[in-house]
Amino acid sequence: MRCFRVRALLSKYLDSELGEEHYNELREHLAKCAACRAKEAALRRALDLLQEWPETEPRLCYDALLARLDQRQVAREGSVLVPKLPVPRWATAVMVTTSIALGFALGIIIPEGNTPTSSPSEQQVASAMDLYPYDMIEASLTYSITNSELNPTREKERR
Amino acid sequence: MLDYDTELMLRASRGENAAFQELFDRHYKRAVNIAYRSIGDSDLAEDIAMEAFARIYESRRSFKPSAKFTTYLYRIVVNLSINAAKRQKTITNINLDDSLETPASGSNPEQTVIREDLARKVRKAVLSLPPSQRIALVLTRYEGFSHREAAEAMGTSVGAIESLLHRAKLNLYKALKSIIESEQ
Repeated sequence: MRCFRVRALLSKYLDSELGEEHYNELREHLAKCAACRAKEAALRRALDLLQEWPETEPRLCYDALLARLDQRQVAREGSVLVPKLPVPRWATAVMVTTSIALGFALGIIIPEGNTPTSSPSEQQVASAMDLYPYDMIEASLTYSITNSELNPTREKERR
Repeated sequence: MLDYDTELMLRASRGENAAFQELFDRHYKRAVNIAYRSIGDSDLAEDIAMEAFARIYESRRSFKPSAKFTTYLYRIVVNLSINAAKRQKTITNINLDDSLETPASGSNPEQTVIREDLARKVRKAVLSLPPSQRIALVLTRYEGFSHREAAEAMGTSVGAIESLLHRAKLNLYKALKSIIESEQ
């Protein structure tokens, strides 16, 4: 047996899966070839090192499985209440197009005047915020001071 | 003649829940450890093992004893592990301190540290292998499966398993080379 053949069979040899005939030939070769012997020893050591990684101890038990099964049962029953109807793709496309067109049409037909544009009076705001008369005066003063600081020209015009 | 686990599964398929619980108690730990060493995450491993048992329980009524129960169970665990390993695109980014349970090595703290460090390096080396090579190695070297049993669990041929194992060993050696050479 030649070295390349031995290297190809080493994996099976190390797993004790090599047939008797090949096993004997390989053993004879290893007895004579130092390079293949070194290769075999290195691979064997790598495999021995695997035992240094310890196994893990499970934290869950049978009760956790029962809980999972119950959860899945509940989820399944929940999904039965809302059955999915098979909707063809073309029908989805038609529905989407119709709703977009309808949106545009409504935007054209309904006048903008319907939406409120004027701002609420101070009194309306104060009653909505549940303010006392004193707070209202203070808020009003603060508002007018801030407003005049920010827009002096507009304030002049108002006067 | 049926093996004991398959008999238990047949009893479970007839509605005997105690038989299913016995199957769970007999194989849960092994299922967790196959998944654990295949993906390197103990929480995810428990989730995979639980999922495998849940699927078996839910389809218990249609169980046919055409194969051993263990082949059936480990095939599901292996498939779920392969899928999980493929989802973990950057498996090397896993926190290597995660649930590494090193057995107590006497009262010598220095030895414990050395042992833990070695365990981490080995874990990293195993997890650096491509998923299929890793799982083939886990089944044969940690769980003692024969090549034929590993092929059944992975749903492939014996020839494919031999090829995976050949490459897995060479890659494992490369990953552990520095440790092996430092020992010589």
